[in-house]
Amino acid sequence: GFGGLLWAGLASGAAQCRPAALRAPARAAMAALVERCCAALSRWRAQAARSNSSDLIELASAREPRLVGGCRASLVGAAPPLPQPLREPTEAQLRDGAWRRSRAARWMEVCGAAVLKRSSRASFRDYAALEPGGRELYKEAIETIERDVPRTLPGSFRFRLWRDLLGELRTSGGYEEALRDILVALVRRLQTGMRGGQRGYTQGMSNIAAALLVFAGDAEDAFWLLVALVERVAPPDFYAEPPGALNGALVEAGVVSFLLEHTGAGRFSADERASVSQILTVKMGVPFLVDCVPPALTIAIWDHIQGWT
Amino acid sequence: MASEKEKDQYDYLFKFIIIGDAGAGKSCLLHQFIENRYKKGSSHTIGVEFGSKIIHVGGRNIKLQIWDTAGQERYRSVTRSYYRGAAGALIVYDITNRDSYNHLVNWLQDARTLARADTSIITVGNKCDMKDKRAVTFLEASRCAQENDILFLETSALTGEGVEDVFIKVARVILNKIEDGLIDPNTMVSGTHTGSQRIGSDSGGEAMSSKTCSC
Repeated sequence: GFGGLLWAGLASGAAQCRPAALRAPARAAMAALVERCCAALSRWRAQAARSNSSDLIELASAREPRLVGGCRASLVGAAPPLPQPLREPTEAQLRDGAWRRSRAARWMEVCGAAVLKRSSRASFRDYAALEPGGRELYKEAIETIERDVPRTLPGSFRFRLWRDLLGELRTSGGYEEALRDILVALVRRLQTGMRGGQRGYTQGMSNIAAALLVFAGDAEDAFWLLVALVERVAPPDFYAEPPGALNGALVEAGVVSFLLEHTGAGRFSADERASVSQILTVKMGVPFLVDCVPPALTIAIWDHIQGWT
Repeated sequence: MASEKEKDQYDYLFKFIIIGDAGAGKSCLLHQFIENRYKKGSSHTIGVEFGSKIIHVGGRNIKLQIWDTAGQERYRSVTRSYYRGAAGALIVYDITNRDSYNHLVNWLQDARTLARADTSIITVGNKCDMKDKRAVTFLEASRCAQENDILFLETSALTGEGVEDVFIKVARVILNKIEDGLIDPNTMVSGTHTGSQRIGSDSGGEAMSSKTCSC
């Protein structure tokens, strides 16, 4: 499939931070891939024009599954092409708590979360416990988190399985409290120390945190997995604070848009290119695919996390 | 299907954007307008969403192409490119949340600088069903809208109160501007997914015309 290849190529472009810096051989190879991608997108565009949908991802996946496949490696980094076909877990596996914990334990090792957890001076609980005045200090982020937690992976949203699994969690104080602790701790982790002030809570992260909580089964490991994804796996500046907010995601969107422009032979208007690239990078990239593609596919892709560190 | 065909018959295509603070109810407002019902368990918007609907105003069929944006401040870097060419802008605040009202001026400035110079703007005080938690009075918001020369309505995306009126009111103002010759409909830039033929240059000019849409 073009997905992994396209995105591996995009990743190399994004790593150099400007579309023009894409190496010539990579560009030639990608031209053919994008050509095929464009044909798929054209069909999707025609359908989209007819639809009233207010859910772009749903629309895209219903009309053109391969377009969504194109996002398989949107958890970029220098990802090698993903194996085809991907081995997706069965629903029975996804519903099996022991199986999920074994996946989370493996992710802890391969993405560096276990090392972070062992070597950090501050524990998860240290980060999650707000110091006096902390609420005021992180007011905007905390208010957004508190508004987002109850509306994370809601039942009426795309994939019911996530909500089922969240409901089954037996964390103390309920999963909403665990989710809030994870995200508040993340804000403090990102805003303090040497990593200072570069990244912050971005709407969509709560989806990742919820999925990690479902797999890890406890807030502490879910937190360190999230830290590893945000600090080590996501491209630089992907979750950047203003000014230059979300710059990493915008750079990637720019790369996609560039490819559509230069290989799509004018079949896409500037607005359309902006939209398609936004879906692929921001809408699906920021939440690391959680609730954008079926849970089994999300997990199959997450299993390739080791390539990115 | 016949209804499918009917659906695409329109005289004008207007691009709208919905902006405002996170949690003000922008997505629910759009959902209520398009589906005529409240979206229970709505998630926060990541980036931008899209919806469209044909309405009948002043004897015309007008297709609204509506872009619904994420409210978190950092997403402005993503959403700002969607303002371009918008004929109408809905700035939504939550009547139970004073901060969301206080930020109106910022959103207004964004709309005026990033959309068209002649964008028709409406302030929408949402969640007007939650009267006991009201933090912004109707009178205050109404005065503020007058001072800034923009429209104002209160809505409830939950009950549907006022929701359709918002879209119709803005569309009527735009239609009046067209009929008074203040806006040349052919200069209107649409967003994505119009399916209409391209005219003009890379600046993204697309024809906004009656029934020429190729979709």
